[in-house]
Amino acid sequence: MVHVVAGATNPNCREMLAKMFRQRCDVFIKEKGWKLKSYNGLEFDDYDTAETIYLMQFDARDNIIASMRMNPTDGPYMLADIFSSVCEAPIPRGRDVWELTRGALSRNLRKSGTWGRMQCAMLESALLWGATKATGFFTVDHIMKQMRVGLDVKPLGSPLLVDGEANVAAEFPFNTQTLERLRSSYGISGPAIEHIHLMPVPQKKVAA
Amino acid sequence: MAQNELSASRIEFPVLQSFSEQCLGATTTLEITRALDAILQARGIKQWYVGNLGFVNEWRGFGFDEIPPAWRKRYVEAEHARFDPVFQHALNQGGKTTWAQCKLIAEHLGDKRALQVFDEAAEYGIDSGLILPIHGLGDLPAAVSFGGEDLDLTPDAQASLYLIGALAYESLRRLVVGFKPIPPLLTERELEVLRWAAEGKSAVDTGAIMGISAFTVQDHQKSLRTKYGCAKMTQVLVLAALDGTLLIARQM
Repeated sequence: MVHVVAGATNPNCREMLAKMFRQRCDVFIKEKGWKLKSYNGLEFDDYDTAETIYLMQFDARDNIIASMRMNPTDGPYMLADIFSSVCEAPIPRGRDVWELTRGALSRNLRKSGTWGRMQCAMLESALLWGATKATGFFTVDHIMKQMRVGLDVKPLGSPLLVDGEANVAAEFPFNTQTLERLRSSYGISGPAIEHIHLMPVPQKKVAA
Repeated sequence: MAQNELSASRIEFPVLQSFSEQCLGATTTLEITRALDAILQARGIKQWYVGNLGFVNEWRGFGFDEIPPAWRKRYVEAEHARFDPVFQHALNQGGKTTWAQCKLIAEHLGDKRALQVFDEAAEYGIDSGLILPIHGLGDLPAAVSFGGEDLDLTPDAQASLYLIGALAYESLRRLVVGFKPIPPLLTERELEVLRWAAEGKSAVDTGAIMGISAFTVQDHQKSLRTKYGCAKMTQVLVLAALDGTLLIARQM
């Protein structure tokens, strides 16, 4: 089952967040060789904020097996800040448009259906938070996987060949129909989200 | 020979955008294949194939194409598929690549039979192209192949063609296959172990049949249980029977 954690600085989820940042370092820096900064074996950047929503999945021994980062696009976000030149359609932006980045899955589970539960949790979270659209800079392979499970992906620009891999800015809607297709594709009948950890509201001091 | 004027450039974004919308809104496969053909023909791509490899017309395979009839006849009669490096590359889970790259490898290996396929294709006016192999979870091997004469496949043009091919394949797949549970992707060895487990063979028997130790068979069984998320092999067999994987295992 999947945990939803709101906020990179959520004080109630420090251990879970640390596991996720460590997994990201392992997957993106050590395994994939992306040129990202790491700090004591943890990978995080300016897009990990108090507004960020994370999905995390753990195994029976509480080891993290999958994670994903989702950012509302009414603030700074990667597609607008770094990849805007690849967008030929208007760049999506808004509180209800989420950018999806840093999708990480344990290497030994990449040929399993584990990611399906994460994708269902992504749709469930979007519907809970009122998000209507996802955007990002994806590989063509990733777009194929998304379309195969029911997401209606639309390109936002021409693709670019980066390191032999075609990448393209794209968007797809969040709605109940796509959630139904996703669940059907993965044979999942119920909710994928197990726990939602909201950012605690600061306690007001009570006057003596 | 002059290069096709349009083939040197990437497919313009409005064309990609319009094709993407046509794909998502299509209710018949013909709408998609017609739109695809129009884009490709305008760029000198007169041969294309989108679909599964080797299992077409079987229970869940599909394939759509525009191939010159004379070349198709020759290709089948000469059994070129067995030697065609492009076809074999896609079948063996290779990555996206150009035909030129496959030809280069065949030349390096001195594979005369493979080079014969390229030579004959050129006689039919198809001498360059690219291939997008598709290996989905539990899916039959599939590919998108585009070919033509003297195509100038710049990196940008390749990227556009890969995207067009991906959109075409996935939208055709949606119409033909729909949204069904996606079975895990199994290795050949795992499929073999699955097959013998379905026959009621023990790990020792399976090991003897496959020429491996019972411990290795148990490792494959463990991997099968992990991939299906099951505690027991019996559960794996039931799920594999339902999702069609067992049928594939038996056809091996």
